Amino acid sequence: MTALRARLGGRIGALPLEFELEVARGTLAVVGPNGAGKTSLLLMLLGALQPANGRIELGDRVLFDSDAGIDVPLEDRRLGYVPQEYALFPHLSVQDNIRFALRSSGVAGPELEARAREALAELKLERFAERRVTALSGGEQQRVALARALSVRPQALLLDEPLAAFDIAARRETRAFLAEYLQRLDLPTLVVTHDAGDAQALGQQIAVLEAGRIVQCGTWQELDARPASRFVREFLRGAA
Amino acid sequence: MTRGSDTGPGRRAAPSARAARRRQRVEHSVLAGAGLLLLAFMAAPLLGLFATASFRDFVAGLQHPLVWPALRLSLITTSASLAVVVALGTPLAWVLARAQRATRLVETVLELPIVIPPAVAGIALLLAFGRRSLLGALYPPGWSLSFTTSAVVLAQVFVSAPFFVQAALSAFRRIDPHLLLVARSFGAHPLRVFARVGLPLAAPGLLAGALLSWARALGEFGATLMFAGNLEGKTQTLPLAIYTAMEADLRAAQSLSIVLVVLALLLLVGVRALLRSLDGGEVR
Repeated sequence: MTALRARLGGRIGALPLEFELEVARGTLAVVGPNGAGKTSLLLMLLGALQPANGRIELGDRVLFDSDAGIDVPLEDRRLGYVPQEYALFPHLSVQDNIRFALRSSGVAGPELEARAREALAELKLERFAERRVTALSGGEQQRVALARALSVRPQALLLDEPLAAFDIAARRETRAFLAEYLQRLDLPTLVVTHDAGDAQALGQQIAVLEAGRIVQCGTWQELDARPASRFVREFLRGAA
Repeated sequence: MTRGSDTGPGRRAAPSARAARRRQRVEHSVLAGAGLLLLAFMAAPLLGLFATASFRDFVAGLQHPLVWPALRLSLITTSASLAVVVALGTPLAWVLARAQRATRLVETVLELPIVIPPAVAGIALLLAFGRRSLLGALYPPGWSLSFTTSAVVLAQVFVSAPFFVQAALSAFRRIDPHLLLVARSFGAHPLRVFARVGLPLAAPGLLAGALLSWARALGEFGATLMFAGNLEGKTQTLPLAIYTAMEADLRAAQSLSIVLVVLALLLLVGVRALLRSLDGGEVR
């Protein structure tokens, strides 16, 4: 089983960042107030933002090590990234979004078509294959984004606010689908969210980020039993 | 409306409402009047150009010996300069749009040709690429870049490139950076991200920029005159031919002008329609 391990230090503007985390099996939900550094953490893991120091490991691959001068470029990290609002290519159809991903990862020919079909089937998107992504609902777009990210067989998954685009009614249903799907997927997954309900439903582990630091990490029950700060206590209450 | 309240304006609402409406109407007409004045002034020369020529005059003017060589030269040189501007300006704008540092300085340098007078641009080109420039020392004896058809193209590139680069830059900057990050996360390398994500998403902006730039090149006069001269069939583009014709035959100058305006208008309308169809393709 590959695990994503990171110990990172850096600075975003005036905010010093310092954190250590491990995602082995299942999903780690990273929560925290606005400006706590959640998205910066995600971008550092992804390779879009360079930490000042630290080390990132994915299974037995070292993605970043400031001491050894290792910094694997974003293109070669093999991390599945699903940003907020999904960033589907608006000029391409659903299947062309997936084909683009596969071709970018070096897959070609009959294998490309087979894997594109497989990715569509996996998320039950076959009947949307020819549609433009801009014509899909939020839930459908999310499935396309997942199918596209997973089609290239990443070794870990990074999701940024995957449910922020939904209103309360649609959110519950999409959240249930996503929770169930991620559990079945069995891939180290990191989900950034500001929503307690999302964190509770999606994360087997929850890491609370405050002012650039992880103040507490554990299961929902552990956090609930012994909240480490006022923010944690209030955040947990927000899930009800 | 606020009759129930006891504030000052509320109590006087009924009589002042009528006055306020009248005042609003007056203010609207003042603004509209000022706008109409400019519109009328802008329309007058165009009307003059078309209204004072009969069709027969127009056809006779077209038979003037300066017309066809100039039209041909203008189409050839502006096609060449547009090709250079788009081929080199697109990558430049892409790199600039994604650069973190020094972009303000580079952008300022790129915008300079928009604000400096074309005659100054002509002198500057002469000093940079003319026979007596630093580069000129390397030219074979008796040859110079200046006063050739290539010089016409260079002058057009110099004055028109900023229009394209600015439009391309803002088109590239409008692309959601997450799209580029996601593409890279699949393993897409820079050229692929540029060609398959950047170019198609910026296409309408690039097209609009190309149109602006082409129009500027087509109308180029001052820099061409200084750097390339006014040699018939070699450097005499439509605007220079109009200038030359006017000294002897206003009718020919007018015909040439009409050709130029119609050409520009056709292109403007064509590109607008193309842009609309591109927009329509996006279901938003």
